[in-house]
Amino acid sequence: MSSYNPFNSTIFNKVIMAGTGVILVLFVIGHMVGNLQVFLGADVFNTYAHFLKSTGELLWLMRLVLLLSLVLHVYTSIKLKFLNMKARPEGYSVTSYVKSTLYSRTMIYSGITIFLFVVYHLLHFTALVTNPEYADYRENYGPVLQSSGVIDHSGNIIQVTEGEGIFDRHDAYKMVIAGFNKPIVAIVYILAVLFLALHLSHAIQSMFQTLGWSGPKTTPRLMLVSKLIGWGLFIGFASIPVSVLIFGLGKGVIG
Amino acid sequence: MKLTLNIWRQKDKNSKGQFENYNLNEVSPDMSFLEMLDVLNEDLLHKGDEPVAFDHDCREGICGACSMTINGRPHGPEKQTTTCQLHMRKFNDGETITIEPFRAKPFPVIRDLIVDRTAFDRIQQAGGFVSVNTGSSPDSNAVPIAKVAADKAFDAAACIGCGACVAACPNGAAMLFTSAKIGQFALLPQGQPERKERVIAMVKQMDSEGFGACTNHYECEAACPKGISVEFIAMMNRDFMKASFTR
Repeated sequence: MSSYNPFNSTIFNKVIMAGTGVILVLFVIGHMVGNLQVFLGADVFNTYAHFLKSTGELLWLMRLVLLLSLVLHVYTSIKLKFLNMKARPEGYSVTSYVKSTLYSRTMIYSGITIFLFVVYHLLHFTALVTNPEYADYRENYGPVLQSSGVIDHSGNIIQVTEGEGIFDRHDAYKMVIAGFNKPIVAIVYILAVLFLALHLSHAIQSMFQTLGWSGPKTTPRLMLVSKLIGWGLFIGFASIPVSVLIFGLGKGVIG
Repeated sequence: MKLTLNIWRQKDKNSKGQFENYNLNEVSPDMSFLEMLDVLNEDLLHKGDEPVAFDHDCREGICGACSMTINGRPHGPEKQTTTCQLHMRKFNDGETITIEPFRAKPFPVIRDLIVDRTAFDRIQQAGGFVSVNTGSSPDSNAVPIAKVAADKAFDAAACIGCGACVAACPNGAAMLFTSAKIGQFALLPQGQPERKERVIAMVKQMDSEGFGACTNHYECEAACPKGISVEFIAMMNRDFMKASFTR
C-alpha cells in the first residue's frame, strides 16, 4: 500500500483528462465569442485583437496554461488509449452498442484531428508561419490628423496618409478575411470545428461524470447541454468562414 | 424453433480458439438460453463430441455465474436479465446466434465460454469488507440509517459480480463493479472508518489486474443485469480523489 501512488491510477489520469478538458472548453467558448466580433466590423475586431496582444505577461500566462493543458490532455489520452487497448487484446466478432454514442466511440479520432488542426491553426493565424505576409497587414486607427507625418511613442516619424488615424496596429480583420477567402482553408476549418462538435458533444458530460457530478436527473441534462454547446460552437465558429466564402463578408478589405 | 449457433470453442487458456457452427432444429421458445445450450450439449454427447463448456450455477439470476456474450451483448439482448433468465422467445426462428466468452485481458478464457473472473475476487479482497468485532449480532436499528442512504446502498449491493460491465465496456474497464462494491459501504455508517483505505486499496487492485480506464460510454450500465447506475463510478471518483489528498 505504501508503495502505491494514487496519482498514477486510472482515476487520476481520468481526472487529468477532465480537468484539462474544463480549461480547454472554457477557452474554446471564449475564443468563439471573441471571434464572432468579426461580424461587428473591422474596427471592433481589430480593437479586440489589439487588446489581447497588449495584455503582455497575462497573454503569455494564458498561452502557457492552455499549451500545458493541451499537451497533458493529448498525452494522457494516448496513454489511456493504449492501456484500454491492452485490456482487451482479443476483440468481439460481433459488437452491439446500447448506450455509447458515435461521439463517445470516436473521441480519440476526433481528438487527434482537432490536435493536428490546432497545430496548423497556430502556424496559420498566430505564428504566421504558413502566411508570413499577414504580418504586413497593418491598420491605422485613432484620432485623425490632417497632417502627413506624426511621431510615434518611440520617437520615430511615421507617415500617415491624410485622413487616417495616427496609431498603427495589426489588421487582424484583413488577415481573417484573406485566410478564409481560400476555399481549402475555409473547408479545413469547417471540418475541424465539426470534429470539435463531435468531441465536445461527449466530452462535456463526460468531464462532469469523471469529476463526480452525476445522477439520474443530472446526467441526461448534462448530455443535452454537451450537445448544445458542441453544436453551438460548430455554428458559431463555422459561421465566419461561411460568411466570408459564400456571403462575401469583408470583401472590400482585400480588394 | 430452428437455430444456427456460432459458438467460440477454445480448448484451454493457452490454445487458440475459433468459432464453430451448430444447428438446432427443435428449440422450444419457452426454454431459457442455458437450457437451449443443455440441449445442444446432449446432442453433442450423443454424437461423441465434446460439449460446450459454460459457467452456470443458480439459474435464477442471482449468482452471477452465467457469463457469455450473445450477439455482441453480455447476457444477451434483454435488459436487466442474466443469461439464465433469458428465454428463447426473444430470438427469431431461423436466427443465427453468435456466442462468445466475456473478453478482457484480466478475464482469461479457461475453456470455450468460461472465463476466469478471480480478478474480481482479488478486488473484493483488497477492501470490499467492513472490519467488525465478532460476537453476538448487534441490536437491530442500533445504528440509525436514513432510508435514502439505505436504498442507495442496496442498489449498489445488488451487484452479483458477473463481469458483464467489463465485457460490455469498449475499454474493458471494471469501474462499475469496483464502484458498486465501494459504494455499498461508502453510503452506510458502518463503512465510514475504512472508507479512504478501502477506495484506495480497491482501485489499486483494479488497476493492477489490468482493467482499462472508463471513458464514460455507459455500456456497463446498459449491460448490468442488476441495472447498477454509473452514478456509483462518479461517487468512487470523488471518494478516490478525496482519499488521495487527505489520507
